[in-house]
Amino acid sequence: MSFWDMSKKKIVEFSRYPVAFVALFVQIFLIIAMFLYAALAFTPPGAGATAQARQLGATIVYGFVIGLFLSFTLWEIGFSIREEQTRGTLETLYLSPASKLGSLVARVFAILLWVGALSVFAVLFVGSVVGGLPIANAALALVVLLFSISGFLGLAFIFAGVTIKLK
Amino acid sequence: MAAVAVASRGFGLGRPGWRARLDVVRTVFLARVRIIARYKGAIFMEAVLPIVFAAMPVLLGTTVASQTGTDPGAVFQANVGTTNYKLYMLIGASTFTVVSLMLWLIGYWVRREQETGTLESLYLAPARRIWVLAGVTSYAFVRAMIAFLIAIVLGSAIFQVNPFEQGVGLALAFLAIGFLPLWGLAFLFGAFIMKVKEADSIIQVLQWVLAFLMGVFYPIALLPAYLRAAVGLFPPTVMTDGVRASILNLAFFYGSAYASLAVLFAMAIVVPLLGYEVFESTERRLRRREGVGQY
Repeated sequence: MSFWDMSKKKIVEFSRYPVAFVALFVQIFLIIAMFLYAALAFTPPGAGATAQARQLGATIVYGFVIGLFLSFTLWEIGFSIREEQTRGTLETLYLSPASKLGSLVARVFAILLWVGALSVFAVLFVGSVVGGLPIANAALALVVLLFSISGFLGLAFIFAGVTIKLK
Repeated sequence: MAAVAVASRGFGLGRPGWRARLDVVRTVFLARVRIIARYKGAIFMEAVLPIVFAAMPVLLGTTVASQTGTDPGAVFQANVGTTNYKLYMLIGASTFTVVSLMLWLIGYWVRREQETGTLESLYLAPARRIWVLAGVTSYAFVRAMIAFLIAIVLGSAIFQVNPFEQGVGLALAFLAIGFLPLWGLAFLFGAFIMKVKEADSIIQVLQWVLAFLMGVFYPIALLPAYLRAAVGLFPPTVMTDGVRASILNLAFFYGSAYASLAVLFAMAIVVPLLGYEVFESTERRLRRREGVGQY
């Protein structure tokens, strides 16, 4: 119950900064476009939308999606803990009977949902540029992604611990 | 006699001379340096970041080329005009860091002063904003240059490239002239942050807009014609292009080194004036309405 309440609080916080949401959205496409152009500089002239271009687009965007999940999980928890520390609300939170694990995961739950939506758009965008991406086993890829996110959460907890320690 | 002196200098009517103005610049500069001296890790990170940024397209390019079974240098030569893609990326990423730092430091300065509530106090001080801004921008310039130099030297050692083979003097000329329009852009950016307020998101997104427009990792010749024409009017693009073309012996965006330098020089005159005018008018409007300190 407290997990949902804390996640809802995060969503309310995000909803107050709509510019940040739009900025994040635009930013993702700019980064992808930049790396696509960088890759073009290493593609033989006149190669066009070939299977090779699709392979290249897939290499960029699938890696980028994993990178997105990793960076958001890692930074969001660390920064959020640090913010509570500076505001002085972290100790108060520890006095409440809410689960500490729930409190940590709730900090990234909403943003991970948003990153998921962003990733879908990113895949569609790159697919439209290179003429379709190779998707051989989407279900297995999703399972790998879920397990990876679980691993990233572990890293993020370590990072949060380091943040509290080092300040 | 004393009454005359008081009347001429006192009661807030005195006009600061050149020495006093320089003192304002120096004091602001030293204050910023003292603050950053407490965070040595930040300076190191700023210098390392361009190397990490440059490594990404280098690795990407090597992967792409290995997939096609070609030499990355040869393909890059066919597309860009040089085989030295590592130095190309390193220069792009380092110049981008300079541009990004200049804008970040000014934007965040305005924002931080707003948040800490000292921006309004600054307006009560008997110093013109231009000298305060000159102090902040000088500090940003020095910090950006330190990051640039460390990144180039360290990056060259890591990527095993030599940036000092040719055109270093011309590249430095592009860098020096390119800094002047950057000051103007920084003023524009400061005005924008003062007006819009959500600084963090805007700075983040603008950073990538800049990287895209500057052609940090690719030649702007790859962009569509309409976009190419637009980015040619953006001073950091001309600066990056000039530095790269000088060191790597590539074609200049405006045809020759003289033409590119002339365009950059014109930008160096127009953009700072325009930037400061926009900053002042934004400031005036805000002071008439809600005040500059509200965020």
